[in-house]
Parts: sequence; structure tokens; C-alpha cells
Amino acid sequence: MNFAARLDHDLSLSDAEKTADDLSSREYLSLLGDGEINPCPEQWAKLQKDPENRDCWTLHHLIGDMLRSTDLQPVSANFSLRVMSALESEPVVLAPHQATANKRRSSLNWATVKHWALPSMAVAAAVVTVVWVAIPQITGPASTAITANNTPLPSPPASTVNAQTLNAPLIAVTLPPTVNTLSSASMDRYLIAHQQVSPSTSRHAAVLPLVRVTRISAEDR
Amino acid sequence: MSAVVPLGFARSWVACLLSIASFLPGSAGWAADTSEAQNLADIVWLAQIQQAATRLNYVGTFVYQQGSQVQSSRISHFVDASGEHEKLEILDGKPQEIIRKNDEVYSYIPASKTLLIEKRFERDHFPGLLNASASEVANHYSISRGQSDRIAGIECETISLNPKDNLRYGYRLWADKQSGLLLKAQTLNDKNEVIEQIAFSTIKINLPFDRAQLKPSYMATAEWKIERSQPGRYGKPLTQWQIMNPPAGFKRVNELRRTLGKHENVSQIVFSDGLAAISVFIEMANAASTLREGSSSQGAVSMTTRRLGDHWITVIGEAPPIAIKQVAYSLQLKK
Repeated sequence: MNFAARLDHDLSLSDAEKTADDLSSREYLSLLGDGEINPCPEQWAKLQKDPENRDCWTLHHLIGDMLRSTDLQPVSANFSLRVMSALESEPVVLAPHQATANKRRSSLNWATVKHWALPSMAVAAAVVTVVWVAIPQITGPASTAITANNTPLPSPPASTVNAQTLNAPLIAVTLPPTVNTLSSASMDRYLIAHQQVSPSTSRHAAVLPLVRVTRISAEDR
Repeated sequence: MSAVVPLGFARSWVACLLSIASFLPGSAGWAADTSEAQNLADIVWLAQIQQAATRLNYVGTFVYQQGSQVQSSRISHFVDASGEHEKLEILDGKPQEIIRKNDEVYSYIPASKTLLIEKRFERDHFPGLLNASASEVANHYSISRGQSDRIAGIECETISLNPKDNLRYGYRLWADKQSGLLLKAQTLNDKNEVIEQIAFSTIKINLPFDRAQLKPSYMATAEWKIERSQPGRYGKPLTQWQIMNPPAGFKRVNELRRTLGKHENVSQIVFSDGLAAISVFIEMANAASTLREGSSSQGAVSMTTRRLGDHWITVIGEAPPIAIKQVAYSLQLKK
């Protein structure tokens, strides 16, 4: 199962169907991405072995980068209001626990909401922002799918946020593989400083890094 | 800021690789023996490419391509008893010219009437380079020779460096069979797509020394603004900052403190796998900070900026975004 399908699948799973392993590695990634815990090398190495974890990690950061990018803001003036109201009408939050659910499972329910309802909101928001940034690039040959394994961006589950709720044009678009949420100007200073002391300067003929920087700085001047 | 980049680190790399080669038994024996020896032979050949770039006299025009962008430049490189002399003219867009005399780099920017002068770092400050061994490079890249090819009318040898994981890019190089001078280079991503390339379109090699070719085009610079860029200071090791999970094979090779524009007291830690490098910049967050979180990629260069407590962390390097993010998110301040 590819990552996007897996994400959709996971969102539709009840807690009883979800394995502890599944949740703990995703939970760990999520906490790590939020900076809530410090990385532990052993755990990290374990997570890295699974390509799905890597995809998940990349997608989380892609979404985070997009949401934080000032180029993409505001999605609309009352975006957060509508997101909050969508969250309130979120059926998963209000659904009663299964009578048979044991203590551990019911305690996981909040974690599920926190780690799956919120990211899915982010995915929905990402779709909106994708429309925003991708339109000039749709015709470009560089347009490929959002994840590394070329799966299309998952559409948000109807139970969380739908197109009407967000009142945004949801059309099928794809992202170029690299989303630049920082301008080349902000990169400039660090790139020059990096290449002053970077041993990789020796890699190509001496001119390559030089040219790379002149191209960028010429644009900004 | 503008283009001021050190050009001659190649020499230390070359010296290191050649010194490795000199420890080996007669070349005829070992080159044929094992694939490891063949790798080493290829790496020594890479070193010869680098040496050619700094030792030969040549004048040529090359094209640099990144995505849909293309830029032409003209380079004149001459060597005499006093060392290396180089002139680089940017031919497209706004004019710019860079003159280098060994370690000193002069950038002429006529649009803003600015002359930037910078002294590049001494190569002796790169213990990591001097320690880099050929086998370490071969640990993370598989090296193979390709078929002969012709670039700018010159017969070339080709060599490929294919990464063994997704944490670094691959390279394809074309070098003159006679002189070893690199005439074309491509950087490739994990799908084997070219993300950046540079190639000579015309070149003349082994010219007699010609001072006229090295003169700046802008002589009346009396009214120009002169900016001297301060090199960084090599401070105490930043041992309190740890990368818990560096991408495999990337080792700490350099640390310094410097001023970057208005940002003072920026710490820089450089990691390298022998070919690619990643810099980590760490600075205190304050009211003047203009940084924000996010990521960016241009050709082979990727960057990520994030806030970590009271600090801003910027990670940049010639590596895939996944490797850059791995560094950014595994950085920790040891208490």
C-alpha cells in the first residue's frame, strides 16, 4: 500500500484495528517533528529502515513548511475560523468509545484525535495551498506528485474537512518535487558562507560553486 | 553580498589522495587486482582532474544550467611563479567580474559600483580534508568509468560517482584525456535526473601566460565602494551542539564563528562525506532576526531553517533535502 493510501486507510481505522506498533512509530515521528521530544539515535535508526516512515516524515515536513510559508498566507482571511468550526463538527471527536474498548484503547483515542485529525487538517490545508502555488506550474514538465513514490496528494476525508467547509477550489493538481518556502535571497548569504569553507568546493572544476553563487546574487542585485 | 568563493581547496584533496596512492605498491599490480584497487585508481584519476584545474593555463566559455536557467561565463586561468591567476566574467544578465590571485578574490559589480575583496580560508584549516581517505569516498559512492565522449571538440574520459544511499547526489564527470582538465560535470538526483550541469562550449588549453587576459575590465574604480569581507574566526569547538543522527558518512570537518551580514556571532559547523558538504549555522534568536522556518532547494543545494528554543538553525548543503532535514532535526544542545 502506498503512503497516501495508507494514510487514508489509517484515518478510517478504528482504534481497535490499529496496532500498537503502528501508532507508536507514527506518534514518535509526530512528536519528533513537533520538537516535543529529543531524538534518540537507536529509535531513529529503527524508524529510518521503514520507507513508509521516511515518506511520512517528509510529508509532515512538507505540510509544515507549506503552512508556515508566508508566500502562501493568508489562504483566506477567516481560514483559521473555518478550520476551527470544521474541527468542532468533526464526528470522530464526538464518537463514543466502543463499549468493549479496554482502558489502553480508550486512552489512545485522544492520541488518535491529536495525531490524526490534526494532520489531516493540515493535509486539507495543504491541498488548498497546493492549488495556490501550483497553478503557474501546472503546465510545466516538472509537475509530479507530492510524495517521493509519485502518489497523488490524498484528498481530505469527507468526515474531517471537505471542499465546501473550506470554500476553496479543490482541483486535482500536483506539486513539483521541491517546494521552496524560502526565497533565493534568504539562501544567498548562507550559501556563500557555506561554500567559503566547504570541502566540496574541490569536487568540480573550481568554477561551479562560484557560478552557482554569482547566478543567485546577480538575481538579487 | 556577492560571489566570493574559494577556488583552490582542490589542492589539499589532491595532495591527500596522491599521498594515499604513493603508499600503494606498483600501479600495474594493484590496479588490476581488485575492484577496490580499481576504485582507488579512479579516485586518483579524480584527483588528477582537480590538479589539472589549478595547474594548467586555459581560456574558455562554459555554460551552467540549473532547471530551466542557463548562464554563460568566460574563464581565463593562468599560472606563473607567483601562483594562480583567474578571471571569471559573467556573460549573461547583469555584468559581473571576479579576479582571483591565489587566496585573494576581487568581485567587480558595476551595477552597484561595488568592489568586494575577500581573502579565502587557508587550506590548512581543513583537517577533515587531509584526513579524508579514498576508501571513505568509496564507502558511500560506487565509482565507474564510462565510454569516451567528446566535449567542446576534445576527447574525454567519463567517470560516474553513484551514491549508495539517498542521502547524497550522484555525479558524472567528463575530463580531457590529454590534460585531465574537467570539461563537463553533472549532478544527478535519486531518479538519475540531471539537476545541475556545467560544460565548456569552447576551450583552449596549454596557452602561454598572458597577463592581458587577466586584467579587470573596470579600471576607473576610484568612486567605487570597496567592501572587505571578514573571514570567520576559528573558535573553540562547539561541542555543546551535537548532531545525534548525522547522515551516514558525514563527519565534522570544520567549525568557526563568523558574522553574516547583520547577524553576528553565528556558529558554523561543516560536515562532509569527502565529496558533498553540509553546513549548520547556529545563531541566537533576537528581535533583529529576519529568519523564518521553511525549506528551499536550488539545483543541487538544499536548505532548511528552523527555530530550536532560543536559537535559529539553518542547514544548507549540496545534498538532497532529506539529508539536510535529517541534520536540522537531529541537532541538539547538550546541557
